[in-house]
Amino acid sequence: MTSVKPNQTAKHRTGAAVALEVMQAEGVDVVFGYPGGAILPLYDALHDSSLRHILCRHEQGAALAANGYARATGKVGVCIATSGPGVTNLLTGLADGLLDSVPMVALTGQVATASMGTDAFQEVDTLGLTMPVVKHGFIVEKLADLPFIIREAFRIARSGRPGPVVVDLPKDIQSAQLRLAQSPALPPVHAQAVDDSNPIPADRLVKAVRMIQSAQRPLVYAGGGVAMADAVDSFRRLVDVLQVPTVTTLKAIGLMPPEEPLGMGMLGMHGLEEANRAVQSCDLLIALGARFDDRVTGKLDGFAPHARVLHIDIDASELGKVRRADVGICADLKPALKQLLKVFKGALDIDPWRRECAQLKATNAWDYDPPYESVYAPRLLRDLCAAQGPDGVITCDVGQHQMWVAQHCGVHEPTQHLSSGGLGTMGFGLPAAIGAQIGRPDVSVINVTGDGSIMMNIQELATLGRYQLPVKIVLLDNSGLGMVRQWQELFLEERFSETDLSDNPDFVRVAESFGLSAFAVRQRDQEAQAIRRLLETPGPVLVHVILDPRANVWPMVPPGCDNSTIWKEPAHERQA
Amino acid sequence: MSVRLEIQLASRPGALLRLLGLAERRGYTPFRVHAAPFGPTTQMVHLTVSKERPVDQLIQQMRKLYDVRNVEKR
Repeated sequence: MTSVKPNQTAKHRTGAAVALEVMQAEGVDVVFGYPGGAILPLYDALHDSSLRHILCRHEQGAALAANGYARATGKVGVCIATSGPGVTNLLTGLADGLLDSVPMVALTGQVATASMGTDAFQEVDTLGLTMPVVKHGFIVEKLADLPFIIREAFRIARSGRPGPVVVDLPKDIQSAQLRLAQSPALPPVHAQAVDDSNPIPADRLVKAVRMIQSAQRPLVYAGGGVAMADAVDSFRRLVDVLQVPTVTTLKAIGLMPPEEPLGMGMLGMHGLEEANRAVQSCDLLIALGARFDDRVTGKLDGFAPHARVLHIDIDASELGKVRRADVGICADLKPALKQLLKVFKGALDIDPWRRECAQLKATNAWDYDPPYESVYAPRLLRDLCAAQGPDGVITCDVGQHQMWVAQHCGVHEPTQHLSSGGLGTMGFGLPAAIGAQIGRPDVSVINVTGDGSIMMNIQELATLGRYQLPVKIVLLDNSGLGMVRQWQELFLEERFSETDLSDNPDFVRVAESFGLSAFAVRQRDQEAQAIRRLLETPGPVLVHVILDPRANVWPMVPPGCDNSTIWKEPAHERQA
Repeated sequence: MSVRLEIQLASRPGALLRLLGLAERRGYTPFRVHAAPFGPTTQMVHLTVSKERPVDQLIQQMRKLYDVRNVEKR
């Protein structure tokens, strides 16, 4: 409970104090933010509150830290910023949360109601600015509405398909005194007593079951929605009962443990060849909590060309949005999968298909020992992940290293792999790692980043240093924007426009100046020792890994092609 | 080709803007809009949009908006 300030009577509390109190009633114990003029009353109330505040060094860092916290814990991530530039800086973190369906609440300061609309100092139209990048936005115009709005913001953020919600708090509303009699500690809840244990209507269930039973080559295509629905156990049971091969999206990595033979890995542009080949030859695609993203499908007309589609998702607007579903079911996956489990009692009769999938996996087994003198990123990441242990969390940024992490880090749960999928936010990884480490202090958190990405939120090294969070940073440095460079090499006749970053700072000295331990490696024979040193050194550590700038990510489905066109590593790269 | 939608909307800050913005962002062109009070806390919006994309998609997206009470095709 928030303690009462000396200048407040027991019967009066400021709007700011009430906002914090309601948040705590919602289960919040930590918030990420950055103070400023229009949010001063809230920070004043925070001073007396038992809420833990993590001071980031940029509002984007705060939003992405809250985002990473939410992804790693499943709880709502809360960020706080002031009006004007505070809000504009939050936008990237909110948009990232919207595209990846992350439950977040952002509290933003606003100029006093009397000044709104006058171009006051640090005034922007927060509601208008955030509109396309949040699930919903509120502005608190009346103090009496405040408790209800805060509570409603958390309900919206969590419910259905999760997403970020912004609550704009004018300064006078934060400062105004709310009489306790007017402050409903628990606003009315309009929950309807609905039995949702059987969300699949009977006729659809019959059709779905028939489709699954009659398929010769069924394939589960699982997305981030499975874990979001807290349906991982049911999902694994269903796959196990049916013994059905499964591909996962970037957001679903970890659903199928790495050693599980039915797991075909990630599909899509940089997906594993076995996953894409399985998709292209299946006759039934069972899409669970997935949305047929363009990086997954490639050329849409050619995606899973022989497959009928059974699509289950909590968001009705996803059904048929991209690919027509032969049977589309709008349902919460947790009870929906349990409903399916009641029907199926044994493995499907699809042995030839299972053998074909197993053969695809065996044929495409990765060669982790190419003849490179330099560090080989896929091997380094595979070994790093194995050394980290089965509970560790890996966050990454965006680009080549992100795909290497997705391909080669064998995590065991979706909440262990935090990657910016929809928005593709460079600069995501470091603040997300901060959020993850705050939310899960007992597990090892590693941020795999690139020399382009880390510079996007490099200031958050100060946050690591300030709280001495034991995050381990693996900076894969190829002296450039590797993924953009790869596209320029492959599709733009090697016209390398503005992708050279060979004038990067000395990252070891940068990290040390922020209070981290840091060291560099560049040769393959240093990989094992570097991993040991990284994980065994206490506190925050950065290892600066120098890569061959010519290394590309393989395999690759070229843009505009369907997933049967798979480019592999050309022989000349192997001679490096 | 165009289609007319009848939308019951809560009268709250930003509600109409959010509705129109959604239509534009999702690739539909709103070219006629009429909004009028409909009870003490809601408004009725008649919206005509171009029909280059399947309008059922737009309706599903609109139904997700917090302020939207009901959407009907007219």
